[in-house]
Amino acid sequence: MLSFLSLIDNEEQRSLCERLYYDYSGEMLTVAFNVLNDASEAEDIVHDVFVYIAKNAMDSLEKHSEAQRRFYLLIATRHRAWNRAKMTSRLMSLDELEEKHKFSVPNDGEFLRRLEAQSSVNKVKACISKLPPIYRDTLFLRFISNLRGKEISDLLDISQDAVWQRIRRGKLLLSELMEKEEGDRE
Amino acid sequence: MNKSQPSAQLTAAFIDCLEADYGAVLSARTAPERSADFRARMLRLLEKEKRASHRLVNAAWKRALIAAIVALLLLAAVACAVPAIRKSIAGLLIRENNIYGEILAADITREQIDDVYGLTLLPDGFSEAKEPIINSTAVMRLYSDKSGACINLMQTCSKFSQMTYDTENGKLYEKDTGKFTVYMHVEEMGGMAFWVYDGYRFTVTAVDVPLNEDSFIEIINSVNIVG
Repeated sequence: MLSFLSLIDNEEQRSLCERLYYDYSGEMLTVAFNVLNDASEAEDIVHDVFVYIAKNAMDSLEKHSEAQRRFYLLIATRHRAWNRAKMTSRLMSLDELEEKHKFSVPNDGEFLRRLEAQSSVNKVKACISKLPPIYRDTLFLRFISNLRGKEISDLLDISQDAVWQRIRRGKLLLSELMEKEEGDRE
Repeated sequence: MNKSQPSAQLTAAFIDCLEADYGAVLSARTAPERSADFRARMLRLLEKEKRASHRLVNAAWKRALIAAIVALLLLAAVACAVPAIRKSIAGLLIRENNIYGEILAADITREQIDDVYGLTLLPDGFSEAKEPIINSTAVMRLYSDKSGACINLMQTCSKFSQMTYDTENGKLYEKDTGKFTVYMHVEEMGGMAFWVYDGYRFTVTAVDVPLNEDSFIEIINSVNIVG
């Protein structure tokens, strides 16, 4: 039986999925390994992410910029690794946040408008950089990659409730950081 | 999708922050070496995805792809693979074990396709099955007969020219054909050969074609500039 055909050849023949694998799987493995410290588990995570995107996300990814695709993959990898390591409960222990906050959580449109209204991009960037990664990543998927809650839930392999909780808390934290930044400036 | 679209500045601000965050991780750690099992799993997945994404395949291509998937399934047995050996052969850097082999790199010196190659000698009943795919870094030609047997010629100068092949069901060997030095395998109903020539990497794959070494070499040696 002849069964030794070539499979993956030049770049033009490759699907987007293949190219993403060749371009980013090394970084994805590093990110997962950094969380799990186990090469085999890191491989499982990366494989799972590609199973997910091959099934569900190729159309969506085709519309994203290259940088967005890269972080989409890295975020999915890190969050799934966190799930595996059962680290998310610790990362999400910010229940007191909403109580101590003075203003309500803005809706998505209002939130984006507030961000865009900031006079200094550097100030926004400084605030985003201070966000805990779990919220920064989720806000990126929601507001930059424009994913729906269900899509984020499937990508990160968490419940939709958890997604909305992260978005809500991320918005609160970022709003708080910007208020503080504004106050400091005044 | 949301109706609100972020500005380019906000997008850049997020991406810069993510770059700093993930960049710190990526610079502090190195990726673990991929296991053979992982590579095999990923190849199966990618091939499945590619098959699903390719709409314009004719029967011959489908047969070739099915055979390729069978080859990949065989890789599932990689747990018992012996350690891979690296070797340089026919202008190619190759890593092989007893289950599969990989072309890691090829001595490709061309930046683009300057001359288009094709097969100038075909077995009886064969003809070019469809218009060749020609782009800046690759030429793909498919020849077939009425039974669906096919011969595929690939000419590439892409730097992303890794390739995986099965070694479990047929060992490849180096052969001087009188015109090229190739790395090849031939059996009763097919064959495969790859080599570097004129700055390009070439692959010839024959499926369901009655062959012996001499007839396969005749086909290989018929690779010539045609355009």
